[in-house]
Amino acid sequence: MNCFGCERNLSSYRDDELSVEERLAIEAHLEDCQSCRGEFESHQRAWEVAGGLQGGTVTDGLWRSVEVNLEEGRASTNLDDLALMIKGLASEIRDLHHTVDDLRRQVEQVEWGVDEREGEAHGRRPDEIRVGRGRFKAGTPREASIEQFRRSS
Amino acid sequence: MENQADIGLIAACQQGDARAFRRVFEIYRDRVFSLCCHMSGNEVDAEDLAQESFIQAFRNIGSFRADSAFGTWLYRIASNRCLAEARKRRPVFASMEAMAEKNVIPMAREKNPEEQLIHKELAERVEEAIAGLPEKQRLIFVLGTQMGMRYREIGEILECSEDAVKVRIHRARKRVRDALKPFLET
Repeated sequence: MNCFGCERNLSSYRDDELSVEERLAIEAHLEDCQSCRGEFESHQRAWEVAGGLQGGTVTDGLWRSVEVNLEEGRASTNLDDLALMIKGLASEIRDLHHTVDDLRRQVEQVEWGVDEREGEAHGRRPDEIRVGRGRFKAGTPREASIEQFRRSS
Repeated sequence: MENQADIGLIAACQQGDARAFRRVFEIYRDRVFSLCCHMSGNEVDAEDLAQESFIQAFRNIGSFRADSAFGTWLYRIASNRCLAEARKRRPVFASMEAMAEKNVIPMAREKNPEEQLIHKELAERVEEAIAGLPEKQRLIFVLGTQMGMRYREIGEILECSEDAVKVRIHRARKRVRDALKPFLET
């Protein structure tokens, strides 16, 4: 092994990332070459100091802050879900409301049509019509309704 | 590499088990915090980075597919978080006195006062040299030299080949050593 090959493998040698053959070749070269030995020693010293610098101590508060954040995340997700659910329900209620209105209109149209046909068939006047089960006389619709209410009570 | 207990724990986390999250946190907290501390240079920033890394990992744990070890996946998240922060600003290293008081430099305690002083100065130079590395070189230096990871694992974290790790790690170390050369020769 030459000096170039030795120098570029010094890190791998130090980290024990070489094959046995490569390792032996480096060791043989370091044994013979003072320059590469000096290079390795200066690397070694820097790495030892760097490796000796430890990464501080975890505080007890770290888990708590992670936990709180996760809970907040879950809570906000639930609120989002709830908001979506409410929007969906509101939309369904609106649709149902429209459907009921349509059905009511259709029923009223059918009842009006039946009453008119029945009235004509039995010789009634067109203004003598049914609303639901009650019958009322002609007049303004509001007055007729009040009069009908008085009679029935 | 993961053992069965880890796989079971991760599966429990994926089901939303709060106790499993706590257990996983306890297994990995020191290593993740250490990585963040070396990358940011101080414990205050490291705590924020570690917190963000764990939160990101736990929120996305459903997407972990066990293609790699969980630790590798988690360190990748932490590494990316640290890189993103490092791109914004250079690390702010805590004073060496403060670090020594916190027993961050254990080697210095075993030496006589004169040797301790030299070691402290050398440690300061090392910190400066590491801080001066471009962020990707700093990360590979931290993973390889300060966290003692194997090249295969570093390759998985950084998503590159072992050969690339080998070249890059030596380049980073050489840069640190060269910055220290005048000091090492005295």
